Parts: sequence; C-alpha cells; structure tokens
Amino acid sequence: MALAKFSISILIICLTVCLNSMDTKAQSSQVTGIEGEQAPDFSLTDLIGNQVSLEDFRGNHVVIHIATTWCPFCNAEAPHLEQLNQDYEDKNVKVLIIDVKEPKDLVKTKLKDRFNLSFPVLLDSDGSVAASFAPEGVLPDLARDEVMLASNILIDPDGRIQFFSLLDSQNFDAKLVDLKAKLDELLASE
Amino acid sequence: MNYLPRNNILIFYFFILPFTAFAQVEERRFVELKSEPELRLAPGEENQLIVSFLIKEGYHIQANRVKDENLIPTKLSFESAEGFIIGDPVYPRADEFRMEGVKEPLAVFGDTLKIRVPVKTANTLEKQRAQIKGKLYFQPCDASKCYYPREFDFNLSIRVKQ
Repeated sequence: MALAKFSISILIICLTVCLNSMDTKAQSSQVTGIEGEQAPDFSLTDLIGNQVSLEDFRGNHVVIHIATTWCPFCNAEAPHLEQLNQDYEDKNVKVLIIDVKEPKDLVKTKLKDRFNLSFPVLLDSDGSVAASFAPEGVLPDLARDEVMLASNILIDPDGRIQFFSLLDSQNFDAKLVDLKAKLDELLASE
Repeated sequence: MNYLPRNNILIFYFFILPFTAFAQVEERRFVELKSEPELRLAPGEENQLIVSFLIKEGYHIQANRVKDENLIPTKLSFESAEGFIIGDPVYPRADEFRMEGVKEPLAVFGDTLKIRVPVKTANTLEKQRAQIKGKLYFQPCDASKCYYPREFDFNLSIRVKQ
C-alpha cells in the first residue's frame, strides 16, 4: 500500500514537471484563446512625430506587423505589407508597422525608405506596446516584447483581435496568405 | 480518498513546484562553448586558437558578413591584455538559409561554429596562465522567428611556458 502511494506521488510529480517543460516549447496551443479578445490600446509616435493610437482606427480593420530593421522575416514581409496596404486601402483596411526599440532615423532609413512604405511606421521605443500583445504564458523564457517580433495581428473594426500569427509560428508566411484569407473572410461577412 | 501522504504533499509544494516554476523562466540559450578555449605558447611565439561554439539545434545566427545590410553580423572580440596580441578572427564559410519571399539566401552559421584566432605573445612574457575575456555578439533566428541580438561571454585561457 505504501509503495502504491509512493508510486502515485512520483507519477503526479513527473506529470507536473513534464507539463511545465512542454509549456516552454509548445506555443501554438497556448494562444488559441486570443482571437476575439479586445486588442490592447496604445499610443505611439510615428516617424514624423504624430501621435497615433489604436483608437484612431476604430471602425477600420487594422493589420499590425511587429518589426525590427534587423529581422530578416520582417524585411521579407515588408514589400507584401505595402502591397496589402495598396490592395485593401479602399476596403476599410489600415496597415501599421510597430517597430520595437530602435531609433527613429534608423527605422526611417532601413524600413520606411528602403521598402517605400506608404503606411505609418510607429516607434515602440521601450517595447511596452509589443509586450502588451504577448499572450500570457507563451514563450516564458523570452522577454515579452521579444515574443512578438515578426508577428502579425489583425484587428477588426470593433477592436477585437481576429488573427494572430503566433498561432502558426512554425510556418513563415511572408506573402501573408493566411492573414489575407482571414481579412477576406471578415470583409465578405460585412 | 487520500492517496498522497501529507509529507509527500509538503515535499511537492515546497520543493518540487518551485523548481518547475524556476525552470519555466530560465532564459533561452542559443549558443554555448563546445570546449573551453585554451592555448599554450612560449614568449614571442605565435599560434592559432580555434574557438568552437555550438549553436543549439533549430537555430542559426547571422554570419560575420551579411548580404543584407539591415542584418546584424556575428562578431567575435577579445579584451586587450598586456603582452598578448590577438589578431582578427577568421570565420568559416557561411551556410545558406533560404527564406520564403526572399530571393537571395541568407548567410548564416549553424551547428558548430569554429573561429580561428591568431594569438602572439610578447618576448618579455614570463611563465604564467592568463585569462582573456572574449565576447561573441550574434543575432539568432530559427525557421520562423528572430530574436534580439545577444552577447555570449567566455574566457580564453593562455598558458605561457618557458
């Protein structure tokens, strides 16, 4: 009887350790509840000094890409974000890049000018806005703003998150195929 | 029904559970030394040291020469130490990493990164064991995500023999 109790205790402990270990690896299954949640509001300056907040875009679909200039995935997506902006600008869709922890001049030269971006690039100088989007418990071994690098978020006109690229972070989607599919679905249902 | 003896519950909550919580927040590591870099030299002698880094499975770091100027190149550097001349590191040939949406493959390092470093000692050096601080600056990525640039600090051990 004592042996059985001891074995059950060890089993429970092992299961707990294993589940916690899996938590650091598996990211996809942890953030399935994000869609439909209210997006955190923010207010950031753009490259010409204007204050821009998410609230300004209430009533629009908003595509947000969290970027840095040195991130090759972000650079690969930049031309496709610009194309998306042009293709959807008359469909009530706004595109934004939130650059994390980089100086204005660098972002202007290496992101805005290099990719000839016609939509606003906002400066999240301390990473707090990027961090505010990071789902709790996902990639706990990374800084919260770091979790969000190269992520895409789609927010509907009511301010609710409808697409979150961390949900499928194993498959890089430079051409934004999945995001556009979700956007088309939302636009078609209006 | 009480399967768990009280002592076991206490052990679980006070010893095991805090340990698992700690394990969760341990910072992710991308690079480690394959072995401690060490060299034996006579005064006035010159030789090459090979510093071997292991890049964790599933990750790569940007190479020392990047094709895209936006990217952050890997850089190995050493603190200066009296009596020792450390030359420019010689990096290996980079691997190619192909990414969807990008025509030109990225130049990256993965798996084992062996960097050769020329080291020369001054003629006047006496028998000693010197420790020189080294630093690898790198920006890691995996197949779908990139991470902030990081520094990996290590010690280079040089034994000066007579």
